[in-house]
Amino acid sequence: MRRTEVAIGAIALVGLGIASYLTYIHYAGLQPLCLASGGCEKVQSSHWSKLAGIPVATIGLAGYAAILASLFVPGETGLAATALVALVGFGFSAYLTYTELFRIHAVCQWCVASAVLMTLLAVLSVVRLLTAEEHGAYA
Amino acid sequence: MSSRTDQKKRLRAERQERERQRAAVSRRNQRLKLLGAVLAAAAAVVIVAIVASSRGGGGGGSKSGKIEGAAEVTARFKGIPQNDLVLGDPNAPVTFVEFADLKCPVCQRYTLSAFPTLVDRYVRTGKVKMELQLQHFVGSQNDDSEHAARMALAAGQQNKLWQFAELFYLNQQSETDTYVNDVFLRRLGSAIPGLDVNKAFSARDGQAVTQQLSQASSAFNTAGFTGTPSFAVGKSGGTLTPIDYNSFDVSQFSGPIDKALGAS
Repeated sequence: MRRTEVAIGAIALVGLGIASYLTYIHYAGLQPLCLASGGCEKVQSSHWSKLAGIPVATIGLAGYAAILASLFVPGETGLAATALVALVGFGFSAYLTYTELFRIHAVCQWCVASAVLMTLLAVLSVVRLLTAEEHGAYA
Repeated sequence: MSSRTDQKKRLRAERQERERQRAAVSRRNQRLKLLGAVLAAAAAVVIVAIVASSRGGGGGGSKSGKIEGAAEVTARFKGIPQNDLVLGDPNAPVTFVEFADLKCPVCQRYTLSAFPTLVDRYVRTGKVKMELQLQHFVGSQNDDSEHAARMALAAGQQNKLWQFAELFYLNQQSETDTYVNDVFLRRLGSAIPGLDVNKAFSARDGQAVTQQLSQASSAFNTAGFTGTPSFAVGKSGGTLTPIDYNSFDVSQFSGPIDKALGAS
């Protein structure tokens, strides 16, 4: 397993942890632990916290799980799948960050942390897609 | 003899190197094409997700004629008692009054940020009842605000004022545009389950609605407010205290509400 795969796997695991926590507090009806006063609560309860009725945190959870799973898919299909999920996550995270700043007027540090992780995953997965050898470079 | 063998080896090595380079270039080109396809697919998925997110509940209004956020509004108020202007348990110990104009973009911002949390934390738990006093001065040059407020108050007669108000904010357009016509109001009303839109249209110009508008205006002026949204909170049945806020952070409202709850 190359260092890129190890890094992607480690980052996706951290993201999985954050998304699991946010999904749990959503369904448990709890308030998220938040350093900034009320920011997380405001974002989590805003109209943008769901997509087609599904909490965004749950969609993030599925995204991180898909990235981890794609590392075990051999060949270019696996490389492309990891990059696709990471790039979608990056694009949607960018949109959500814009929404936090300019529509909700509150910042949730859990969401920011997830957006940073997705950015790293997008960069690493594109590098992996372009540089992986023809055979034997997959997890 | 030895020289011919060396030459053959050298030529073979050069040929193999050329083939390796061609294969590397070919693979790089193939990967770049794959990356292009992945980027295009990712962009398409993100665009669809953003459109779905905006339709699902984002504010900002719609000029397309499609009403946005109806399902979320229905879910927001499900199970919460409502009576005319009041949202929540009529016997709640604390009353929270909001003075707002449906065409006011700042009021929209409050509704999309702090309001949902306040409803879940205080109204749904029976601690606070909310009252909405609608003003109508933002669109005074074209009567848009009054048209909106009248229809909202008429919906209030069917205990659907809060659904109508939130749905209006989710579909609010520019405050300088004139858009609150009967077609728009009918679309909004039709998106609220249980609201008899024809009945609301009949009631909106009635004496009861006119009186409520007048009372809301008087209450606003008596409290000394000068802009919307403005808020007051206090023990139910007692004197209400204006809330001095400087953002729509939940804490700006939860502090005064908790204080009133402590005193009640």
